[in-house]
Amino acid sequence: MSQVKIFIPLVMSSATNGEREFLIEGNTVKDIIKNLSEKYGKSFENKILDKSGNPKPIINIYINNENIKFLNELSTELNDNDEILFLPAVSGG
Amino acid sequence: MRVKSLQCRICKKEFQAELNYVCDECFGPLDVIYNFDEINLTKNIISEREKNLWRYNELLPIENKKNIVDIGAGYTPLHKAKKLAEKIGIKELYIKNDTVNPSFSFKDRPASIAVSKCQELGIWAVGSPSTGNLASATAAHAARAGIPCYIFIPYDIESAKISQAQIYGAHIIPVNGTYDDANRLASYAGDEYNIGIVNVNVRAYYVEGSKTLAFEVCEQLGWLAPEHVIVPTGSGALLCAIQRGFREFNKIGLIKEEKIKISSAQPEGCSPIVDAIQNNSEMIKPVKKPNTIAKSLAIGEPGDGIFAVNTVKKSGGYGEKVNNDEIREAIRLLASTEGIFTEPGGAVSIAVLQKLVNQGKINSDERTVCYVTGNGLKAPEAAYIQPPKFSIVEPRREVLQNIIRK
Repeated sequence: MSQVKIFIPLVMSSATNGEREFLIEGNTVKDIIKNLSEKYGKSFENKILDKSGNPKPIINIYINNENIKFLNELSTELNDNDEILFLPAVSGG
Repeated sequence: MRVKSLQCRICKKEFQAELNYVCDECFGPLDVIYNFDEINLTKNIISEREKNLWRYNELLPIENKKNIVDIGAGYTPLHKAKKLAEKIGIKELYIKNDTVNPSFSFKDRPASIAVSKCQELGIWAVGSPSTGNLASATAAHAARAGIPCYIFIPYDIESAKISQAQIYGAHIIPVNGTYDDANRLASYAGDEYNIGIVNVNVRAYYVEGSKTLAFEVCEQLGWLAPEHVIVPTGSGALLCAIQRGFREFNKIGLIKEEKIKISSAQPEGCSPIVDAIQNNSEMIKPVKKPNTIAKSLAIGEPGDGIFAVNTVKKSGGYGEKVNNDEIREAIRLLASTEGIFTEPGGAVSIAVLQKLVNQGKINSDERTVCYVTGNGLKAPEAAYIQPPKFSIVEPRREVLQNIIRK
């Protein structure tokens, strides 16, 4: 089981009881989201994933600054000390 | 108060009009909602005001005029393009020429609103991630406001854009990556240092400035809406704001038309929104390494992408993309027929217009507007594959007979 570091921006931190940087375990991104839901409630998963279990288009998930859409999506495997960032999909203008 | 609330675009939850851009219920983006019952804005009132974007201030989210930071953006020419129309094959074509804004792109509009709102909310500094135009617009307005400005850019944007943003006194932070990398770093800066990142944490207010591109076109057409507009599209925010502008003008009775076709124009090499439209997909597939001379539209992860796709489809518009050669040709065509020199991002709308006309998707008698969003001097080298060469002549009268032909 890999131990990874999670970063949550201020604007999303109400979903993690205000916690913004912390460690969690999981082998894939899907594991991490499941573990975060166990820790902070099912509402966390409902905010990140749509009804089909895919990441919502309004959220980007990065591993070591790489969008998981360019990796293996939720099945992307994780290594120890990987950094996972959840970010609202807000860019350009 | 003219602003009633911020409202989530997805679940419709409402929030106070503070510094906020994401719904805590579903992480959806937030939009400004106005107290329309309290808005008294008529054609007569508008027509007597100064010719800038603030003539529509009842539909803009600044409560107190003393907070307005204005360098003269907006009310740019709407140019009837007769020669270009003839070349392209339609009867009624207008160019909304935003190349002439104070910092030479349409970005002066949302930047003016965003920096004004930051003044209103007491935010100590502003900033933006940018492919170039927003950098200058934000920096110019920050200079006028007298507040610090932090600009995050991909390291390889056009040198003219970097020089311009820097001359206003902004702190320039070149990022070793794409625009999306710069955006991520800027988002972090906004969070950690309470900086108003104009198109991130001030976004709900910022996008309201772009609505004025719809307002002005209607006013300048004699309070008539266009039938079809072509919008250069990066993130999708401009396209969605234009649609909202038409909708609000209809809501308060300033135009009668409700359905205006809105088409999205993107460059090949970074066309995630157009691809989703053409593939009839509900998912945006991001572009990892955008590759186009239209660097101002090189947004590989468009934040408003899915909303722009839905807006185009509901309006009956189209999505189309053009390659670098088509973009260069469009720069030349617009300049040589109408005397307007635009950068590649602005020329994309002209190139796509030509394509849609050739495909029979725009009727020859549709009243059509192309938004031309940035000045050509921002990226002069992009207009040519090779720089033009000139033969130097001696200052003697005789040389003219070989050059000038009546």
